[in-house]
Amino acid sequence: MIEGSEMFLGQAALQFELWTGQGRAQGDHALGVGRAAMNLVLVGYRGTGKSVIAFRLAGCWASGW
Amino acid sequence: MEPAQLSQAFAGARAMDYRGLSITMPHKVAALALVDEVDETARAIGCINTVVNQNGRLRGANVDGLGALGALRHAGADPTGRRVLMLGSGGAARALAITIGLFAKPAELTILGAIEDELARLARDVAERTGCKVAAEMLTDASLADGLAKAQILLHCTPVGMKPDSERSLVPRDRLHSDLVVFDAVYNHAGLCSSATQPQRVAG
Repeated sequence: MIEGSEMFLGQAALQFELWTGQGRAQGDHALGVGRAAMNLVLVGYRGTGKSVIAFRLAGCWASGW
Repeated sequence: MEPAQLSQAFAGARAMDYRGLSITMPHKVAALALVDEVDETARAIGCINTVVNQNGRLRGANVDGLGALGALRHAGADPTGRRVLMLGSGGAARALAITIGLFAKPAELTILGAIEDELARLARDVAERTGCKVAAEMLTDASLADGLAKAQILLHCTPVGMKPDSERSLVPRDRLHSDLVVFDAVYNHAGLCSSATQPQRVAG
């Protein structure tokens, strides 16, 4: 069973790569926007998964992906 | 934000030199017309969920399907060469079907949907834009049973199971089999999750 939160996490990771140039760029999304440190803000209604994604991202970053 | 304000939001992002935007419903289709370039995947899907500002030029991309494909591959369930059953023909289904058609072509993609014209349009677009072998049928008990019996990967892309009806599921527990990998685009979907608690891998 692969849950939808895995999909959201994958989308967030790809967007992060596109905006920062950090991480692996895939397919035709290798836009190469350069490297820069930045804050990441998750915006959404209650119950849309902000906390789930934030905890997952924090875990990924803490472990170096 | 109201749809009528979308162009103002993009103008503001340009003026303030935002690095990027994440686009959600209901703005994904309209946003396509507000960027300077659109990548191949997003153009095939017909909407964008990501904008990258590159020296003042806004480039639109769609990573909805790629996020799902990454999750499938991470779980050892690459759709390439597999028999894939998709439930649903809306936006999430469209993004995933086009993406796997382009980047992980299944042996056969069967799409079951409840909205006839939307289903036919999706099947036609996936076949034409990706070259993927696609079959489309209306979602019935019989077509679901037949599709599940043949499938190696099930992609659930309907809204059934979203809060507050998270206990609901289109897929009866007794129709799941041990060779089936289940992907559910609805997260925290208690109904489908409880029907498929054991992670499975595609054999071979």
